[in-house]
Amino acid sequence: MEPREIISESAATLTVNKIRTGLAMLGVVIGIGSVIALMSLGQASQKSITDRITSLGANLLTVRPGAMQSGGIRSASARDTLTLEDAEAILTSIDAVEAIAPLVNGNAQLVAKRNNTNATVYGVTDDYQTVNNVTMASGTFVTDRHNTAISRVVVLGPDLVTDLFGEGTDPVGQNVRFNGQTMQVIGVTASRGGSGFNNQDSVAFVPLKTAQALLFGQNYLSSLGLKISDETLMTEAETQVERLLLARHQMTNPDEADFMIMNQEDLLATVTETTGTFTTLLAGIAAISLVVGGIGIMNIMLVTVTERTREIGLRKALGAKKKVIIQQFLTEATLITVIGGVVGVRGGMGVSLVIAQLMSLAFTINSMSILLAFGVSVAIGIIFGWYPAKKAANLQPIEALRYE
Amino acid sequence: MSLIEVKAVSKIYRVSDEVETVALDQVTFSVEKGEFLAIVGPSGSGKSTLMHILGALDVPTSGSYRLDDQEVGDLDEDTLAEIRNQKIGFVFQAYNLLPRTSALKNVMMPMIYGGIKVKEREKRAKQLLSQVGLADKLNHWPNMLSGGQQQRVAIARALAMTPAIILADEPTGNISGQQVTEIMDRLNQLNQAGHTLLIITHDQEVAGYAKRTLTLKDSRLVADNVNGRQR
Repeated sequence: MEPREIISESAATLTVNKIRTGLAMLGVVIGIGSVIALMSLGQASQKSITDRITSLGANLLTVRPGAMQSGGIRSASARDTLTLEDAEAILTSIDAVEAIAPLVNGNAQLVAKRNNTNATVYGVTDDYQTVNNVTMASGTFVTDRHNTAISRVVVLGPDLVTDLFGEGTDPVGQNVRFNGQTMQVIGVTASRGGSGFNNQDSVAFVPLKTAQALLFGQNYLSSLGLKISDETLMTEAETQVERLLLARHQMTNPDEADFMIMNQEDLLATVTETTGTFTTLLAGIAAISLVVGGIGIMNIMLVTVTERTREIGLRKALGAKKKVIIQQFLTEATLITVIGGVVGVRGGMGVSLVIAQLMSLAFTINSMSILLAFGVSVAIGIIFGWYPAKKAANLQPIEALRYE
Repeated sequence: MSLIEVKAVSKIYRVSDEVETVALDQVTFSVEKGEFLAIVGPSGSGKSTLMHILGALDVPTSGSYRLDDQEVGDLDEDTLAEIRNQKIGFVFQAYNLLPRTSALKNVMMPMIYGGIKVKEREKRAKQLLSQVGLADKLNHWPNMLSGGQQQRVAIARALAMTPAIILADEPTGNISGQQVTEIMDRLNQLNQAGHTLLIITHDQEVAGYAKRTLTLKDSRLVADNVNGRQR
């Protein structure tokens, strides 16, 4: 029997009971669909995060508080170690450091008249604008004077302006309340095309000292960005910063450091690893639904074998060998899973396209995951179709012919 | 050399360790090419068991069954399937046509397993269906045909692989009246055309068409008559 014939005959059998075939297929559609959607979304968000990191330039160092543990994971215990004084010492004593961007961050609910919204609040100095290439849509950024004076001023991201004042309005001069403080809006940053999990366009910037004194009540830094004058000086600068901070923190053993210094490459590696783990985890959960779908198919195929006992008996009586019967039933099962897989891939791509657009992520799909999904569908058909097919092939023709 | 040689064939079913049921007891006979043979007997006499063995659907517990000069008694399942496909044409009481499948495709089925090319299959199936007078019903599903017509499709199917013998198990058991005569006339014609024909039946009228009658009783062969006379 030619392969084309087996397939067309199996297809004909499957169309006899369309609802049942459809339901059996649905399990695979949902399984494959969710695996594809989650993998593609994971890759998309990973890409957007890494893109942003690389767009910042290669001459940035970031110092974070907390001890470096094995595998690059920061311990949660020692976070209050990095101060503004550390930052200033670095700027004054290390020549290669061109600018510093100390930062404290936290979350706050911003209120303007009747509107309110949740935002990430960054306490920054004027250098943040230089180091992170922030451009303004209107007004000015936080200045040195604002910091010395602990001014109650705020620079809003474009998304926050939309949420609080309505789209297209210029809120400069208006007041925003948060954490019990009234802040005057002095500027709006230009849109950077925010992305999902970490939207730069919904950040509110306040003077660093204002944030420390009035909002979060702490003297420590969440992170410290360093702009190095030349890319070739990166390694040297990193060593110098480390030595200086160790000395300032009265430590001798670099392994016990209560801070860590990351360059862009380290950062990229960490982010890629983290998002990669999440993507795999999510895809793994989705894969469970695939297994459930496979069991559904096995169940249906077993029912089919019982229902078609007489047919199987007749086929065997007319000369069908075991192999042919196995082929027939495996083809039916695989046809269900492959069609389900194709529909699932398309559905999953559709879902991730919609979500990617809602979260303004770049939609990506790699051919690897499509190929993988296809392979998995075939494998599920064969694995879960095997037992029913074997059962059918082992039916005795006499018993099967007599079966009522 | 006879076409069918059955020598001391017994079939014993072991129900449990102690209980055994003897379904066929030392049956011996032979059939020449071109014969028209009826196997008769009351139910429980071992007719069906004999038919299963003759049809290579089952193997005897002891004894020898040679079909067309080949020992069938001790073959594996797949080789038995091949024998059924190549040498035996089945006509069942309940027609056993595939539902929701055209008459043409039903007739083509044995040829699929016989490895005959698609074009040849279709040509031959059409030819066979017109031989049984169903040239205008090629694309009809079994449920659109009368019992007699369905059995004619089954006869066409039995001829598909030009088998050595045609084995009909109560071929008129599910049909009545005029159609019985029609089916029996068809089978008679096949015999006259040279086909070896074995019919299992308990119907005396049907058995009357055959030239030779084997009678089974209590698992034994008790009579072998040719044209009504003991052989």
